[in-house]
Amino acid sequence: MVSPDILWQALQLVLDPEVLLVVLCAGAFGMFVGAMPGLTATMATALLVPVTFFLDPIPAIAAIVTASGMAIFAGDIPGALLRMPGTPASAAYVEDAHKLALAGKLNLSLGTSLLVSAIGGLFGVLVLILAAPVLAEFALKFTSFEYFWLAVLGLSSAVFIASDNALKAGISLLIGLSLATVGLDPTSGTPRFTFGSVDLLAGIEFVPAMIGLFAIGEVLRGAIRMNTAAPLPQVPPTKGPLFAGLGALIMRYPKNILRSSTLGTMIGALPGAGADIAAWMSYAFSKRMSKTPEQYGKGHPEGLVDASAANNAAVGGSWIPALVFGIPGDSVTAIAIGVLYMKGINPGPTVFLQTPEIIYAVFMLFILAIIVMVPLGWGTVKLARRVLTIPRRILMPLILTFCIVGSFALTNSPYGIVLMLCIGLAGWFLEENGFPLAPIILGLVLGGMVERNFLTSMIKSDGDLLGFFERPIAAVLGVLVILLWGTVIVRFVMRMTASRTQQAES
Amino acid sequence: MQLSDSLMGALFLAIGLVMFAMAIQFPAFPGQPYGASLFPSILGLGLALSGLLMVFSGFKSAEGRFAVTIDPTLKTASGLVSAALVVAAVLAHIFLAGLIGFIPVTILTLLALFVWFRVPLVQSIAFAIAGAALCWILFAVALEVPLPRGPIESLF
Repeated sequence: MVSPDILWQALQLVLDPEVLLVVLCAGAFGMFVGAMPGLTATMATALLVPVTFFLDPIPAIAAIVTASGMAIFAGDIPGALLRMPGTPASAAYVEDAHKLALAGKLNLSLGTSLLVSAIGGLFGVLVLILAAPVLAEFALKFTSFEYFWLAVLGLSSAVFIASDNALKAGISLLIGLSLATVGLDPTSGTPRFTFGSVDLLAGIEFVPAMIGLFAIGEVLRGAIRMNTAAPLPQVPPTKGPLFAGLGALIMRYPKNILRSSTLGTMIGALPGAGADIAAWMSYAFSKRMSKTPEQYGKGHPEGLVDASAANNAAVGGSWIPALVFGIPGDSVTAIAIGVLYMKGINPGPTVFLQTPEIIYAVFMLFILAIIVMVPLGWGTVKLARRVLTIPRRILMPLILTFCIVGSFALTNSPYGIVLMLCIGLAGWFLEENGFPLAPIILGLVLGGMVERNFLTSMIKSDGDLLGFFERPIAAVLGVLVILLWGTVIVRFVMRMTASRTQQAES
Repeated sequence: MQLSDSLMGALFLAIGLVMFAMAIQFPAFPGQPYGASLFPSILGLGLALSGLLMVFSGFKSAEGRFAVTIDPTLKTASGLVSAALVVAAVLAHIFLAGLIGFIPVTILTLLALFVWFRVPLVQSIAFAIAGAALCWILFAVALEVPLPRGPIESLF
């Protein structure tokens, strides 16, 4: 059990006026970005990072936690008003949310989203608070062997479970891992893939790369369609009490909320799968379990309740592997881990031992962010008409400038901007061709750790690969990795032979 | 711009092979068969192999084997100019900011983008100046980032 002393220290860290101000600003920023159609929660986080670079660790984490949580709720607002999900996490139930709004039940739709999001979010955080310290104690026994397997398992599941095209996701991951090898080799100091450039010796800077991947691509896509895009449809009014009649609705679906919060937390904790997949899966599951599946997609609140709970629960869940093992659960936590590394904090079980007050402060920040979400969300819904009429033609160039300055700020030289542009264009091209971007950032963040643990293990076992299976936990993890890859390969071979016999028959 | 899977696969096959060829030349630890070269070599081989698989699956698929599809909006002059302007704005910050300073480059690039996106001129000028000033205050003044200084910035 944690001592009250540590909790008190953590509380002091959180109640610092700077932190509270950051929570409020980042919350408003996250609401705004999430509410703008086409600007994602990941983009909100990416745009914040250059600013967090100049903050202390706790306010920096506060900014990321608050902004990403808010953006995921705020994505529901344009979904309900315009049938345009503000973030991918809101796409699963956009039909229901919008049809409710058309039927004059806009407040019911958004009020449900907001309150159920808060409940789901709180559930995810409670699981995080209960599970993380226990897991961390267990993880203290881990050596380079276990960490190597754990990272490989996480990356493999990001490829096989979290994407519909495993081959393309695998290539994305390999690109990310390869980018991580650029620069001085961590074990021997040999320069790799630097092509004689002094800037590249330090490696691919994580922040400009991330801004390029998650913001420049969006800006480019938005810019290309700017002059041909249809104007936004008329925004319906957002009058009346937001939370009226919600108690009855929530009381009607307590099981759904519990089930989807659990599912969302679990999916969030899987590396590579985040809030959007949690929302889709819980919506589908809810439809299958429901007594009235035919109502789904026609303005039925049940699926809305399930998916809203799940996508916010996933936010807490995705921090479990991130804090305990340093293995991010989705692209937002990948960004957060990158920020922690920049601050000299290496996420992992030792942080729980050496600086537990930081961990508990992060827990408190999560709860604070959810508390702030309710009034901020209410305000955003009320202001939604104004926010949605801010023209994208003014916003996009400003976001571009912000990306440029943010990338410059990380290297204090144009090198950051060059990196952002190159990776941004490459990322845009890859995304146009159906390659997911999240595995790239996972690979870039985890590449160094995977290689270091791999080489350390190789040196320890003197190059004997059997050494990777000698310790019990490492063996279990290793076998899991082999099973996962084995199933995928067997299924691939079976599909190939099936299509070949089909061709032969026809 | 969309390439068919076979073309995309061929691209990654080539990148993977080049990466492998470069990686095996990295020196190993003295007296040990592995070192700086092992991990990137594995990654290079992995990329090449995945590329090869993509070439094969592309050949089997119905879409053209060597098809290149260009986004219809990118084919219109308007879409192409929009994309080019975004890239040009970034390039201007890379190459011009050091010469004439951050604020003029920001105002010019913002103005060009606003006008091209059909924002009314007076609004464009106002937002361009406000945007540049906001970035300068936030990053150069508050966060003390050494943004490139030119004649205008030296006035402060």
